Amino acid sequence: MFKLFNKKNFIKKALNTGFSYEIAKIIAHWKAESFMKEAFLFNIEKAQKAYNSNKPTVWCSTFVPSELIYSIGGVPFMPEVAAGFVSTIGMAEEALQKAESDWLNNDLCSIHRCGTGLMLEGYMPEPDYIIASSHLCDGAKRYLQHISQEYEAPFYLLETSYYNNEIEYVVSQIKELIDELGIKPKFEKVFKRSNKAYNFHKKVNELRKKKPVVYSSERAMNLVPMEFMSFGSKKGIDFYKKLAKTLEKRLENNERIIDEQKHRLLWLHLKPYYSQEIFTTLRNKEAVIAFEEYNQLYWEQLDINNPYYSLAEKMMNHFGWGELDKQLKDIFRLIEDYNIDGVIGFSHWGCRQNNGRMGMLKKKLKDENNIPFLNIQGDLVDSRNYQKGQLRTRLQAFVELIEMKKEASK
Amino acid sequence: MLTAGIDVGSRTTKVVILNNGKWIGEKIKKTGANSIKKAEEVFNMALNDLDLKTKNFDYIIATGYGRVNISFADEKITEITCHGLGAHKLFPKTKTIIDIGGQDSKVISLDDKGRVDDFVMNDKCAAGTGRFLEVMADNLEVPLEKIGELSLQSTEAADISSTCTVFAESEVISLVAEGIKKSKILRGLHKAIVKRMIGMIHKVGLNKEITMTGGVCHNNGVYKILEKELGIKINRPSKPQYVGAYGAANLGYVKLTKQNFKI
Repeated sequence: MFKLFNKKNFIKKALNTGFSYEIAKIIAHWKAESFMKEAFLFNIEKAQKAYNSNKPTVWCSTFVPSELIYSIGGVPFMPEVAAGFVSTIGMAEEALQKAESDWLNNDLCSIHRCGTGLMLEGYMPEPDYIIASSHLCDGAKRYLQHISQEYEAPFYLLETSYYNNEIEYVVSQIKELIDELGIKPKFEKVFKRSNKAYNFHKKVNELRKKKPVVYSSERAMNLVPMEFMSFGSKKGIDFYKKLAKTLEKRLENNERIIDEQKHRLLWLHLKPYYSQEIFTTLRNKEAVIAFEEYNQLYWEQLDINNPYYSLAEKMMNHFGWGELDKQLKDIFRLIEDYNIDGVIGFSHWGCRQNNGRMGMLKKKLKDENNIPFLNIQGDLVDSRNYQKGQLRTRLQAFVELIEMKKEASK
Repeated sequence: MLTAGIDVGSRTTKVVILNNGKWIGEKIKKTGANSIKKAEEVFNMALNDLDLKTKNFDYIIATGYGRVNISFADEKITEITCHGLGAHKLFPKTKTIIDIGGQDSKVISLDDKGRVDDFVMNDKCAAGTGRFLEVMADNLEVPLEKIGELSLQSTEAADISSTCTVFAESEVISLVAEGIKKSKILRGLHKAIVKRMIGMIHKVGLNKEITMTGGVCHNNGVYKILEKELGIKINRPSKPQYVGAYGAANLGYVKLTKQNFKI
């Protein structure tokens, strides 16, 4: 049967046509405000460059520092971020099914499955080369290598050591990678931008310690890709600068996200991208997420005099990497800084990032701080793993529990 | 002072009515396809028995998975909190509640006043719930109310490796085809549920006094095997399915009388 409109072809053409990006920019200018405009423009420009520019498109896993890619003149493209985006717009299922029909087990991380499915469907920009790191996402290197073979693109792996005293090994790998690419890196310009954005991000995090909560957590988590991808770019500075300014203004004007904010929560890991119900459920119980683990600044400003070491340090210092004691210490610091009443840990199906720490954390929180902890299982992009009713009950019961604990301590 | 608790569960809807905190009436019916209509119907039936009207009530609390749609309730509180308080009122020293309902199972730990201290719920599917047992009873063509006793008639348990309803169903079909006795298969099925519950119990911690609630409490097989596996006597309410509704009605009473339990 003749089809007048083919959605897939339309999307593919739009992604590969400069005109569609110009329209998207006009809409972003027209519709979005302040920091959101910067985030939209950053993502539109990055996508445009990834699909349509002469600069090398460098696919990388989320935890490869974006400063490394900008320093070598590449356009970072993170398929994990693309997977989150398609889940938000309700297109993930098709990609997941495509990946599963290509022998990817459905108990693997759905972000990786979705990224593979999008590649197989032909939605992704062709990579010039691919860089993966081995920390946190243990499945990332394998699926990115699979993708590199499909595109016949060179694949590079940065193996991230687990213990801090092995940092020289990571440093040597970054050096080797740059030598092999034969590119003279522009560290100075990129690091300066990264450090400027860092300062504004730091200010944002300081402002978020104040009461009331004026920045919604679902937005904060939707914008986590800015942390993955924008550091080292000019737009990254603009985004965090405007975000800091907006939050400052909101605090001045007491523009709280909900009127009654009885309980302040800390969120660990990321959130489902296809549904925002978690947040409305909590708000209906007068609970707000004051801060998210993924928005903490876990690294120091980058050192232009020691660029390779500095990049290696950024990778190894990630809050979810390294010894469990360090990870727990970070969480306890956030609890204190953000005046937290309860902690929610999201365990994403197929992900091993939380492995080992949930039980320890729950016990430690209870024994040392009497702070309740809720572990919820779910899926970041695969809505087929979403149990609305069960999740709602868990969240509501958790807030009731916090309320009862507060009452008991009076 | 009249208070009511309505527990709209996935399988059954329960209503408990209290007068000054004292249990004066109850009603239970299958929830069916229209939980809102059923909740109204069961509530009205309970009122008719006692010759009461909705306007006579001082506080009504809805709980259970269908709580969100009960418009005539003054407040909606989760079944975790309500089961906790209900069990505490029946057995004041109890610290651990095991609730196996139609759709989900949960383990709750309480403080001295019946406040929830911690909880865990089953994940993702009907594994280890009343629905699991219903499907298996159907497959074995044994009435649901008899499977527990039948399971206790066997000293041996068939190997059931999965508590996933779908996979366990095919295991049961294979065992039947092999000519394994129904009692042995049922023992295996009950043991599989109990093992799953024990894993959940240890997540929140095993306390000295345990109470079991929910419809599966009527099943002697699950109850006895659980007691045996834990090596501890388990409290068993006379009306285990009503504990959530009883807790909800009690919570209303507690709120109105401003007792030292508040959410």
